[in-house]
Amino acid sequence: MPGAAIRIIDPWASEPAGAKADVIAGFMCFQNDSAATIRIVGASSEAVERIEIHDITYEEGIARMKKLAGVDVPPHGSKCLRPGSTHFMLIGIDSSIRSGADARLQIVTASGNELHAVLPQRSLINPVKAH
Amino acid sequence: MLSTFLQSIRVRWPKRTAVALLAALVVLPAEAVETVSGRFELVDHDGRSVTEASYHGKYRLVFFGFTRCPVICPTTMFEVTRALKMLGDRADRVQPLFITIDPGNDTVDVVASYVEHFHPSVVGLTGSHQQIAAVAESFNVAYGGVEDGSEEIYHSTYLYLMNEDGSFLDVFGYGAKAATIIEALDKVL
Repeated sequence: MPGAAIRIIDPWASEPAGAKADVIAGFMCFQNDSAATIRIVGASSEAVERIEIHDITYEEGIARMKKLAGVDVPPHGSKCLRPGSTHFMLIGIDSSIRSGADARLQIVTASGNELHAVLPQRSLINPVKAH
Repeated sequence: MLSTFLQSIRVRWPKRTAVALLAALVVLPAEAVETVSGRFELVDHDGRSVTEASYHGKYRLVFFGFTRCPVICPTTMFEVTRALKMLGDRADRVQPLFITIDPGNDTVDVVASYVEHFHPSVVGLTGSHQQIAAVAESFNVAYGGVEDGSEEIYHSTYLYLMNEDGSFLDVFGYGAKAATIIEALDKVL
Protein backbone atom coordinates (compact mmCIF):
# COMPACT_ATOMS: atom_id res chain seq x y z
CA MET A 1 0.00 0.00 0.00
CA PRO A 2 1.73 3.22 -1.17
CA GLY A 3 0.42 5.25 1.79
CA ALA A 4 2.31 3.02 4.22
CA ALA A 5 5.66 4.07 2.80
CA ILE A 6 5.57 7.27 4.82
CA ARG A 7 5.31 7.48 8.60
CA ILE A 8 4.55 10.43 10.82
CA ILE A 9 6.60 10.75 13.98
CA ASP A 10 5.83 12.87 17.05
CA PRO A 11 3.19 15.24 15.69
CA TRP A 12 2.31 18.23 17.90
CA ALA A 13 0.92 21.74 17.69
CA SER A 14 1.79 24.95 19.47
CA GLU A 15 -0.69 26.31 22.02
CA PRO A 16 -2.80 29.22 20.83
CA ALA A 17 -1.54 32.53 22.20
CA GLY A 18 -4.56 34.18 23.71
CA ALA A 19 -8.29 33.54 23.83
CA LYS A 20 -8.86 35.13 20.43
CA ALA A 21 -5.92 33.42 18.75
CA ASP A 22 -6.59 32.50 15.16
CA VAL A 23 -3.48 30.55 14.28
CA ILE A 24 -1.30 27.76 15.63
CA ALA A 25 1.62 25.90 14.10
CA GLY A 26 1.83 22.14 13.45
CA PHE A 27 5.05 20.13 13.69
CA MET A 28 6.05 16.53 12.98
CA CYS A 29 8.66 14.41 11.27
CA PHE A 30 7.93 12.48 8.09
CA GLN A 31 9.88 9.26 7.60
CA ASN A 32 9.96 8.02 4.00
CA ASP A 33 10.63 4.28 3.73
CA SER A 34 10.30 4.15 -0.05
CA ALA A 35 12.86 4.60 -2.81
CA ALA A 36 11.11 7.64 -4.26
CA THR A 37 10.75 11.22 -3.03
CA ILE A 38 7.37 11.85 -1.45
CA ARG A 39 6.03 15.39 -1.67
CA ILE A 40 3.66 16.67 1.00
CA VAL A 41 1.39 19.21 -0.68
CA GLY A 42 -1.19 20.14 1.89
CA ALA A 43 -3.39 19.31 4.81
CA SER A 44 -6.90 19.89 6.06
CA SER A 45 -8.88 19.53 9.25
CA GLU A 46 -12.51 19.93 10.18
CA ALA A 47 -11.50 22.17 13.06
CA VAL A 48 -9.37 24.51 10.95
CA GLU A 49 -10.38 26.83 8.13
CA ARG A 50 -7.25 26.25 6.10
CA ILE A 51 -3.79 24.80 6.53
CA GLU A 52 -0.71 26.07 4.73
CA ILE A 53 2.90 24.99 4.65
CA HIS A 54 5.29 27.74 5.71
CA ASP A 55 9.02 28.08 5.90
CA ILE A 56 10.95 30.46 8.15
CA THR A 57 14.34 31.83 7.24
CA TYR A 58 16.27 34.18 9.43
CA GLU A 59 19.04 36.47 8.23
CA GLU A 60 20.59 39.63 9.58
CA GLY A 61 17.91 40.20 12.15
CA ILE A 62 14.97 39.72 9.79
CA ALA A 63 12.71 36.70 9.95
CA ARG A 64 10.86 35.77 6.78
CA MET A 65 7.87 33.48 6.71
CA LYS A 66 7.10 32.15 3.25
CA LYS A 67 4.27 29.97 2.00
CA LEU A 68 5.44 26.80 0.27
CA ALA A 69 3.63 24.75 -2.36
CA GLY A 70 4.97 21.55 -0.89
CA VAL A 71 7.67 19.88 1.11
CA ASP A 72 9.81 16.97 -0.14
CA VAL A 73 10.65 13.95 1.96
CA PRO A 74 13.74 12.28 0.46
CA PRO A 75 13.84 8.54 -0.37
CA HIS A 76 14.79 6.47 2.71
CA GLY A 77 15.05 9.74 4.56
CA SER A 78 13.10 12.14 6.73
CA LYS A 79 11.90 15.71 6.78
CA CYS A 80 10.99 17.37 10.06
CA LEU A 81 8.69 20.32 10.55
CA ARG A 82 10.05 22.21 13.56
CA PRO A 83 9.62 25.55 15.36
CA GLY A 84 11.74 28.14 13.61
CA SER A 85 11.75 26.13 10.39
CA THR A 86 9.24 24.59 7.97
CA HIS A 87 5.87 24.01 9.62
CA PHE A 88 2.15 23.73 9.01
CA MET A 89 0.20 26.91 9.72
CA LEU A 90 -3.28 26.10 10.99
CA ILE A 91 -5.26 29.22 10.14
CA GLY A 92 -8.74 29.84 11.50
CA ILE A 93 -8.82 27.39 14.40
CA ASP A 94 -12.18 26.60 15.97
CA SER A 95 -13.16 26.97 19.63
CA SER A 96 -12.34 23.33 20.42
CA ILE A 97 -8.71 23.84 19.44
CA ARG A 98 -8.65 27.19 21.23
CA SER A 99 -9.71 25.28 24.32
CA GLY A 100 -6.86 22.82 23.96
CA ALA A 101 -8.27 19.97 21.85
CA ASP A 102 -5.96 17.90 19.65
CA ALA A 103 -5.96 18.88 15.99
CA ARG A 104 -6.80 15.98 13.70
CA LEU A 105 -5.23 16.44 10.28
CA GLN A 106 -5.54 14.79 6.89
CA ILE A 107 -2.24 15.33 5.12
CA VAL A 108 -2.07 14.95 1.37
CA THR A 109 0.84 13.88 -0.82
CA ALA A 110 1.43 14.83 -4.45
CA SER A 111 0.45 11.35 -5.57
CA GLY A 112 -2.90 11.72 -3.83
CA ASN A 113 -2.28 9.60 -0.74
CA GLU A 114 -3.77 10.74 2.53
CA LEU A 115 -2.07 10.50 5.90
CA HIS A 116 -3.71 11.03 9.24
CA ALA A 117 -2.13 12.75 12.21
CA VAL A 118 -3.32 13.80 15.63
CA LEU A 119 -1.56 16.85 17.03
CA PRO A 120 -1.74 17.41 20.81
CA GLN A 121 -0.85 20.91 21.99
CA ARG A 122 2.44 21.65 23.67
CA SER A 123 4.01 24.81 25.01
CA LEU A 124 6.57 26.31 22.64
CA ILE A 125 9.02 27.04 25.42
CA ASN A 126 9.13 23.56 26.84
CA PRO A 127 7.64 21.15 24.34
CA VAL A 128 7.87 17.95 26.40
CA LYS A 129 7.04 14.76 24.58
CA ALA A 130 4.13 12.93 26.17
CA HIS A 131 5.35 9.35 25.83
CA MET B 1 45.02 53.14 23.65
CA LEU B 2 41.91 51.48 24.98
CA SER B 3 42.57 52.41 28.62
CA THR B 4 42.92 56.11 27.77
CA PHE B 5 39.73 55.94 25.76
CA LEU B 6 37.86 54.28 28.63
CA GLN B 7 39.22 56.85 31.08
CA SER B 8 38.03 59.68 28.87
CA ILE B 9 34.56 58.10 28.81
CA ARG B 10 34.43 58.06 32.61
CA VAL B 11 35.47 61.67 32.81
CA ARG B 12 33.41 63.21 30.04
CA TRP B 13 30.35 61.06 29.34
CA PRO B 14 27.67 59.66 31.65
CA LYS B 15 28.26 55.99 32.28
CA ARG B 16 24.96 55.00 30.75
CA THR B 17 25.77 56.52 27.38
CA ALA B 18 29.15 54.83 27.35
CA VAL B 19 27.62 51.44 28.13
CA ALA B 20 25.04 51.94 25.41
CA LEU B 21 27.65 52.91 22.86
CA LEU B 22 29.85 49.95 23.63
CA ALA B 23 26.91 47.55 23.63
CA ALA B 24 25.65 48.95 20.34
CA LEU B 25 29.05 48.65 18.70
CA VAL B 26 29.19 45.03 19.69
CA VAL B 27 25.63 44.16 18.82
CA LEU B 28 24.47 46.19 15.86
CA PRO B 29 25.78 47.87 12.75
CA ALA B 30 26.27 51.59 13.30
CA GLU B 31 23.55 52.81 10.93
CA ALA B 32 20.84 50.80 12.65
CA VAL B 33 21.76 52.28 16.04
CA GLU B 34 21.98 55.93 14.96
CA THR B 35 18.52 56.00 13.51
CA VAL B 36 16.54 54.53 16.44
CA SER B 37 14.64 57.52 17.83
CA GLY B 38 12.06 55.45 19.70
CA ARG B 39 9.24 57.94 19.13
CA PHE B 40 5.70 56.77 18.49
CA GLU B 41 2.00 57.56 18.56
CA LEU B 42 -0.06 54.39 18.94
CA VAL B 43 -3.11 52.83 20.60
CA ASP B 44 -2.68 50.51 23.56
CA HIS B 45 -4.67 47.32 24.11
CA ASP B 46 -7.21 49.22 26.25
CA GLY B 47 -7.90 51.50 23.31
CA ARG B 48 -6.04 54.51 24.71
CA SER B 49 -3.82 56.75 22.60
CA VAL B 50 -0.23 56.63 23.85
CA THR B 51 3.17 57.99 22.92
CA GLU B 52 6.65 57.16 24.14
CA ALA B 53 6.12 59.80 26.85
CA SER B 54 3.27 57.74 28.30
CA TYR B 55 5.85 55.39 29.82
CA HIS B 56 8.13 58.10 31.16
CA GLY B 57 10.21 56.90 34.07
CA LYS B 58 10.30 53.27 32.98
CA TYR B 59 12.82 51.40 30.89
CA ARG B 60 11.10 49.72 27.96
CA LEU B 61 11.60 46.37 26.26
CA VAL B 62 10.11 46.76 22.79
CA PHE B 63 9.39 43.95 20.37
CA PHE B 64 7.76 44.15 16.94
CA GLY B 65 5.70 41.19 15.76
CA PHE B 66 2.18 40.09 14.88
CA THR B 67 -0.27 37.86 16.73
CA ARG B 68 -0.43 35.26 13.95
CA CYS B 69 3.33 34.79 14.11
CA PRO B 70 3.65 31.15 15.18
CA VAL B 71 7.05 30.93 16.87
CA ILE B 72 9.41 33.90 16.85
CA CYS B 73 7.00 36.36 18.48
CA PRO B 74 5.62 34.16 21.25
CA THR B 75 9.05 32.78 22.13
CA THR B 76 10.55 36.27 22.38
CA MET B 77 7.64 37.46 24.52
CA PHE B 78 8.00 34.37 26.74
CA GLU B 79 11.66 35.22 27.26
CA VAL B 80 10.74 38.81 28.14
CA THR B 81 8.20 37.38 30.59
CA ARG B 82 10.92 35.22 32.16
CA ALA B 83 13.23 38.21 32.49
CA LEU B 84 10.53 40.24 34.22
CA LYS B 85 9.81 37.43 36.67
CA MET B 86 13.53 37.17 37.45
CA LEU B 87 13.62 40.91 38.17
CA GLY B 88 11.15 40.58 41.04
CA ASP B 89 10.35 44.01 42.51
CA ARG B 90 12.57 45.76 40.02
CA ALA B 91 10.18 44.72 37.24
CA ASP B 92 8.09 47.77 38.21
CA ARG B 93 10.72 49.92 36.54
CA VAL B 94 10.47 48.10 33.21
CA GLN B 95 7.67 48.42 30.67
CA PRO B 96 7.48 45.64 28.08
CA LEU B 97 5.81 46.68 24.82
CA PHE B 98 4.60 44.47 21.98
CA ILE B 99 4.03 46.49 18.81
CA THR B 100 2.17 44.85 15.97
CA ILE B 101 3.23 45.21 12.36
CA ASP B 102 -0.13 43.78 11.29
CA PRO B 103 -2.68 46.40 12.44
CA GLY B 104 -5.25 45.14 9.95
CA ASN B 105 -5.65 41.86 11.82
CA ASP B 106 -4.29 42.90 15.19
CA THR B 107 -6.99 45.25 16.39
CA VAL B 108 -7.18 46.43 20.00
CA ASP B 109 -9.24 43.37 21.02
CA VAL B 110 -6.97 40.88 19.30
CA VAL B 111 -3.85 42.43 20.82
CA ALA B 112 -5.49 42.59 24.27
CA SER B 113 -6.23 38.89 24.13
CA TYR B 114 -2.74 38.10 22.85
CA VAL B 115 -0.79 39.87 25.59
CA GLU B 116 -2.77 38.03 28.29
CA HIS B 117 -0.59 35.08 27.40
CA PHE B 118 2.54 36.83 28.71
CA HIS B 119 3.67 38.79 31.78
CA PRO B 120 0.80 40.93 33.19
CA SER B 121 2.77 44.13 32.63
CA VAL B 122 3.07 43.58 28.86
CA VAL B 123 1.26 46.27 26.90
CA GLY B 124 0.24 45.58 23.33
CA LEU B 125 0.27 48.48 20.90
CA THR B 126 -1.52 48.83 17.59
CA GLY B 127 -2.74 51.77 15.53
CA SER B 128 -3.49 52.94 12.04
CA HIS B 129 -1.32 51.76 9.17
CA GLN B 130 0.39 55.17 9.15
CA GLN B 131 1.08 55.05 12.87
CA ILE B 132 2.59 51.59 12.54
CA ALA B 133 4.68 52.66 9.55
CA ALA B 134 5.89 55.65 11.58
CA VAL B 135 6.90 53.64 14.65
CA ALA B 136 8.66 51.08 12.44
CA GLU B 137 10.62 53.96 11.01
CA SER B 138 11.47 55.29 14.50
CA PHE B 139 12.94 51.94 15.42
CA ASN B 140 14.45 51.21 12.02
CA VAL B 141 12.29 48.10 11.76
CA ALA B 142 11.82 46.39 8.42
CA TYR B 143 8.49 44.62 7.86
CA GLY B 144 6.15 43.72 5.08
CA GLY B 145 3.98 41.23 3.32
CA VAL B 146 1.30 41.00 5.94
CA GLU B 147 -1.60 42.37 3.98
CA ASP B 148 -0.71 42.52 0.35
CA GLY B 149 -1.53 38.86 -0.14
CA SER B 150 2.11 38.17 -0.83
CA GLU B 151 3.37 34.74 -0.01
CA GLU B 152 5.96 36.12 2.36
CA ILE B 153 5.72 37.97 5.67
CA TYR B 154 8.86 39.43 7.16
CA HIS B 155 9.85 41.55 10.14
CA SER B 156 12.90 42.56 12.13
CA THR B 157 13.22 40.45 15.22
CA TYR B 158 15.34 42.67 17.43
CA LEU B 159 14.30 43.30 21.03
CA TYR B 160 14.95 46.93 21.92
CA LEU B 161 15.85 48.25 25.37
CA MET B 162 14.92 51.91 25.68
CA ASN B 163 15.76 54.46 28.38
CA GLU B 164 13.26 55.98 30.86
CA ASP B 165 12.83 58.91 28.49
CA GLY B 166 12.15 56.63 25.53
CA SER B 167 15.53 57.04 23.85
CA PHE B 168 17.58 54.10 22.61
CA LEU B 169 19.78 52.22 25.07
CA ASP B 170 20.50 48.69 23.87
CA VAL B 171 19.28 45.96 21.54
CA PHE B 172 19.21 42.14 21.53
CA GLY B 173 19.07 39.76 18.60
CA TYR B 174 16.39 37.10 18.31
CA GLY B 175 16.92 34.27 20.75
CA ALA B 176 18.47 36.39 23.48
CA LYS B 177 17.90 34.66 26.80
CA ALA B 178 16.37 36.25 29.90
CA ALA B 179 19.83 36.24 31.54
CA THR B 180 21.22 38.48 28.78
CA ILE B 181 18.31 40.89 29.14
CA ILE B 182 18.75 40.96 32.92
CA GLU B 183 22.46 41.64 32.54
CA ALA B 184 21.73 44.77 30.50
CA LEU B 185 19.03 45.90 32.93
CA ASP B 186 21.28 45.30 35.94
CA LYS B 187 23.57 48.04 34.65
CA VAL B 188 20.85 50.67 34.85
CA LEU B 189 18.30 49.55 37.41
